[in-house]
Amino acid sequence: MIVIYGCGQMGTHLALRLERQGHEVTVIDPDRLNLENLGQEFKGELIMGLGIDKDVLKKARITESEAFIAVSRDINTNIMCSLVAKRLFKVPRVIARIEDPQLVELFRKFQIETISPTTDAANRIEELILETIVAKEA
Amino acid sequence: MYILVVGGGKIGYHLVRTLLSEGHEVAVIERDVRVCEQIAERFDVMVQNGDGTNPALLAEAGCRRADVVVAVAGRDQDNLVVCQVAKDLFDVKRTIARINDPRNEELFRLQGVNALISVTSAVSNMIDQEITPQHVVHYLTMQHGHLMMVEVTLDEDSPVVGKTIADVSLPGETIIVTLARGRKAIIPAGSTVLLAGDEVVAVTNMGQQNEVKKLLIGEKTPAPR
Repeated sequence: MIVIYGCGQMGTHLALRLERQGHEVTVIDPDRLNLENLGQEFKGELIMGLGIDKDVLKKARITESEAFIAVSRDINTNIMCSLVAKRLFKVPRVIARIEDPQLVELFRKFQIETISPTTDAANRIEELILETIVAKEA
Repeated sequence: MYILVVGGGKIGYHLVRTLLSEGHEVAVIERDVRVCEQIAERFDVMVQNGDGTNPALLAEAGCRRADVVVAVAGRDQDNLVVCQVAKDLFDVKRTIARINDPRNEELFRLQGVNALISVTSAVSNMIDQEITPQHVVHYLTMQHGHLMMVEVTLDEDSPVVGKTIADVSLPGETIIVTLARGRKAIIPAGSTVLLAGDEVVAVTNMGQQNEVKKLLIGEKTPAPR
């Protein structure tokens, strides 16, 4: 079982994909409209609430889940709910969307794995542009 | 001392004023540019506009040489990250955070935040103490609010009058510290017999004070002192 916090574009995409692969997925978001992004196709549980709230996480059966993934746009909320999942509920795998490389380093210490979509995308674009420039100069 | 305050709302504003009047060096980081301007106009402090969890901004504000970082922004998650970054990336020795939801206390402590200011708990404790019948006086709250001292005056109808202290089944982690009998203060033993008119001072865990009170003075509404 997998719990996802944040039902924006990334959360929605991830939830649908993981479910198609046969996982049981629960999605949490404070905004009902965001949860509606998932549409009829999604069969998992939807929970409206804040991910930093222990009671909301309990309702999402966090203690039974193998992974918790925090991918909202609110980085500090991602960090705090990941800490709650890891430190208080001992979820085996916790993955958070954190952009700042120093924060990525810092929270690795607490066994929180990270993804940095904006930073990674920016880096990739930079690489692509540099390739073009290098190619031109060559 | 050099104190870095993150969050310039009502609490931050008054904190800055108090700290400056005590002669401390203070810097403020605040998200809202208008709030920054107000603080900069009013006080002679360095004000940085931006996100207080951003390591680069904290570095610029001199976080490395800060003796204390106080996180008093409105959201608990922001205050937690500020303290964590200050502690782990800048080796700040003392971090203090405001928390709004008392349920978050456990995580903040686990993550090593040195002191917590729980606005919600403080206000509700104050109200609780105000509405408690007058002849039960909460002396003081100890150890960051975990223990409470409760004073109760026994009258003739008290269920414990005539009993020894050993016979009174107090809730766990409760101790009768002293008895004031007439003009004498007694350090009680298990064999001390409780009498009407005794002023009993007990220490108990926060949250058990009403149970202790009920046990000592009975169910009825106490008469005013």
